[in-house]
Amino acid sequence: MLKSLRRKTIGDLRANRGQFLAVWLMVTLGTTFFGAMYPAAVNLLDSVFRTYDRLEYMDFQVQVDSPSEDTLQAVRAIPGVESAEPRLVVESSLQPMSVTEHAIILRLISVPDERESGVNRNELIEGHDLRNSGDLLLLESFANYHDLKPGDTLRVTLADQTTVELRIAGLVFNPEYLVAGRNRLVTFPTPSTFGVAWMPYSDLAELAGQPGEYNDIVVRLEGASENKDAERDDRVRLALTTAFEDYPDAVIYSRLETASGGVIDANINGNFPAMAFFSGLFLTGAAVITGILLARMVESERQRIGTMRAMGITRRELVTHYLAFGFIIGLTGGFVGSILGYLNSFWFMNTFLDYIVGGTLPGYKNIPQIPFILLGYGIVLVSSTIAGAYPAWVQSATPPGIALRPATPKTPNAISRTPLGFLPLVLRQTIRNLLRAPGRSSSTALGVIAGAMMVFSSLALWDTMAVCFGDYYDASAFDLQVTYNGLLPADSIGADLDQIDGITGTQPALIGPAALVDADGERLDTIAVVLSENEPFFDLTTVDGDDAFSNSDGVWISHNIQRILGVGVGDTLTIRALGQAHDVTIQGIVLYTVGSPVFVPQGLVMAWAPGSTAVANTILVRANDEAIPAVQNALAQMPGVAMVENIQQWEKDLKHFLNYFAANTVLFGSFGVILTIALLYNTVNASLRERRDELSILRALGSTRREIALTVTLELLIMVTVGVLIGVPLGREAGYWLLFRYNTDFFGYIGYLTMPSYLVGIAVLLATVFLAEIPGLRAVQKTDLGQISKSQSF
Amino acid sequence: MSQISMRDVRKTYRMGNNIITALDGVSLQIEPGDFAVVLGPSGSGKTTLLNILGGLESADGGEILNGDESISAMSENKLTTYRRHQVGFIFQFFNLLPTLTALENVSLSAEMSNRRAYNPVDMLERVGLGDRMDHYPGQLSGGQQQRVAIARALAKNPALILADEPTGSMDVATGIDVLRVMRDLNRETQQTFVLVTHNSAIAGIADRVIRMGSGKVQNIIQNDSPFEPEEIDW
Repeated sequence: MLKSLRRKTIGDLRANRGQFLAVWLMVTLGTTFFGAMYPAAVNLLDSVFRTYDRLEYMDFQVQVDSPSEDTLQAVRAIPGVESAEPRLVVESSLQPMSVTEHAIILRLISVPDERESGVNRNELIEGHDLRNSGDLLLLESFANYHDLKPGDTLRVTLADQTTVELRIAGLVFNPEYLVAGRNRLVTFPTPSTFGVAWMPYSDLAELAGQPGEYNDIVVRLEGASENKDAERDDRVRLALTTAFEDYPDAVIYSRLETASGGVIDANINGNFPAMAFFSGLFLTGAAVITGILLARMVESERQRIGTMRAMGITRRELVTHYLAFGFIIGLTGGFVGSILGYLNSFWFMNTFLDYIVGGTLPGYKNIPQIPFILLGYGIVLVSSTIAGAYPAWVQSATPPGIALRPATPKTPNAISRTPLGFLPLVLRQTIRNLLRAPGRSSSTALGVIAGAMMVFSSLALWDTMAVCFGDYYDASAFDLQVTYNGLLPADSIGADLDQIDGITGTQPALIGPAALVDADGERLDTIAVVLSENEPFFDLTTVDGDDAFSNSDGVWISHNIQRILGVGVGDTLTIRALGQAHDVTIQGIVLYTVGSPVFVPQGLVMAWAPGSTAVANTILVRANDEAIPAVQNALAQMPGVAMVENIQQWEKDLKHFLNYFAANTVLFGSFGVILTIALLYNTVNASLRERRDELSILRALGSTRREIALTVTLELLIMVTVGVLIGVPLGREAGYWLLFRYNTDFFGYIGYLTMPSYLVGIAVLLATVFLAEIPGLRAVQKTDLGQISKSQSF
Repeated sequence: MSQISMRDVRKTYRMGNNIITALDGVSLQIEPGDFAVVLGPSGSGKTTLLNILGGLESADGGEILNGDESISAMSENKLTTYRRHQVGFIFQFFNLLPTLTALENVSLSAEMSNRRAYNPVDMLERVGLGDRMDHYPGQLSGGQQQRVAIARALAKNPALILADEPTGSMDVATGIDVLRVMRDLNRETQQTFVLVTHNSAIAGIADRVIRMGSGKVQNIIQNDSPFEPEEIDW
């Protein structure tokens, strides 16, 4: 480049520093988000797999009562199995630790007496390992929630109502409870009511009165977690099924079918497309804005370009000169954005750790994803350089003599000459204005479409989560859920609760594991909920908006079952539970976001065994709001009660877990709105700038400000309408698509975009567009009309 | 009463640290129905004079009357109304709206006015473009575009028509043709025309010639026997 042109570049950068800063910020922001999100998802996955492999996380779990040593050996002999370990898992009740706390379920899991576990190993975070009788290791996330420390003593009540004192030796992380979900019905961490602890086998077996007994086997396969081998997994599963064929109640779960493994897998599956989508969208948006701004700047140099060409400066020198603007912006903005992106990725990872994992992930590493960062940097550098060079190349093609004059009016194209005599003149002019510059019109419409996509995909994420979880919370039309240690007659199970003050209603229920098999033989292990069809305490609504439990002729399945098994209303399923199997007809599909339960009317169960007594293991309790804590504590003291669940607290725990999604959605939405505003502002502004002289002529001829604003607004309104009609459904579907990546056996969304969101989203777009036209219209008002008499540029 | 009356009108511009005096105490009068030509070299202030007369710019001082209406102290909104109803503009580069046909460009102007506007079709026929009404500006020659601009300026039936170098971008024949149209319409409608040009040859067709230099009126000549445009020695 000529030395003097280099000086001009520096001078131009100084003179237009405001504009350059605006472009630079867009480039930097785009690169920051690009470099933050997707790499964070990659590092999260690697961190999780690293943790799994370091702590030998299980690939299969078999819940089975008293497996024989031969069966265990058969499992260990299955090709591909690295180790298989039997365990005793006992649910106990942790007594209130202070006057304000209530009973909590504490799952006690055995570890080998003399050696470290071969599967699902603990990582000690604080304190020491198991040394003395009566020691236990407590899950760190649970301990932190309740402010428990090593050395503290816990009072634990077992099924036989004996209470023992156990001492916390240490706090541990365990990959099985990376997400400390309880079971397939309650897959989310509820630390207020559920904790996990590990004890030596001999201690636990003695406490539980089950010496020599096991009820759970965990299996670890060979190879690293990142090398998924679906065929091998299928072979092992088949072999496990064969090994346990003499145990009809045995339930086999793959890693993804367990609460923690499934939730993590759902998150990872969902995070990748979401992060990639928003990374790409933000970078594309930033690149488009950069292109528009730089093109505008170069086009405003038309006459200077003509002058330089007239002076003999070659096109190549000119293009080199103008591409320097974009290059400098891309080089510096991309560099800063890449660094900020890496730093920002810690925020994404830490949000995941805090809300989903509970604070600790032993395999955590956030490594800069150099190839991906370089890709983003390269895209920004190339696109911003081209954005500066291309308009300069186009402008420099104009012969200097012509470039030095004002631009000549373009002959309207054939489309814009379409006879529109039936329309009023103002509309005719509006439509022809839109049609005569298809590039300008379509770029404005594309800006609105891109903006609408960003805004509405975020709104769809938000609404779907809000509606699905709102409905899920509302479905529990009770305050407390009391689980008993065994099955009891339904008509007597709650009889003794009347004496507790504050209870306003109770309903017995039977909640437990069940298997569903469809007509093709496909099986789903899930949870069945049996309760009275007369005013059930589960307030369920079908996806069609009808009430569930309207009859006792069949079952209502959650929408996740419908999705997983591909069944519908009227289809027949076989339900297997408590050693029985019955064919049932699906009466309806209910919206139930978490888990994949099947709801069975008690009348149907009674019809299977006429004359028998209904049994239950759960009481659903309604209580006065102010009495709930006291009622909860009183219930925990009742004989036979294993667990008391406070639904409000449960919701609170779940909402804490969902904060991760909420934080991401708010972030996506906020940046989407910022980008949308920037995108629309610049496209609208550029469009008005192009037409500034034309609008000024109208002013010179006597058109009022209002008339000019009306003309411009009318055009924008048409563009916004086109953009909204295309962008809103696209954005909505993109949001749904992203959310559906999270769907698993025990977690599933149905897409929602509510009317208020439609209105708010469209209002945001309209407001943005109309705000964006203000500077352009002001510029028209400020135009020196005296210059109009000598101008000719439209 | 004069159509235009200017008294001691001044206008300055700031260009960097320099102050340029565009009009330096201009006083003049133009009678109703006059075809006046403002003549002067580049930088003499003639375009500024026209812009102030048309309400495109405001003067720094002095008094300007259009008929009995003072435009010296009009607000921006009143100037817009003034341009809308009282003035018709003819620009050097025509400045037609490219998305409107010839007829629609003229109609737009007629629709704007609250005066008794002329029929746009009649106006276009009057300027010899009866067969080009549905053509867009881009499909017309320079002379034809300027005729449309003349029809547009006259269609709303303003009292004052202002033309800034209307033949400045034309060849001789086209320029004469355009001047012929303007002169004929002036005689026919008795609307006042003020035409700005640096071409002294055009001055011969005017009823009144205002010669300017360095922002001042150097002289005003009443021409009782103007030439016909065809007689101009371009």
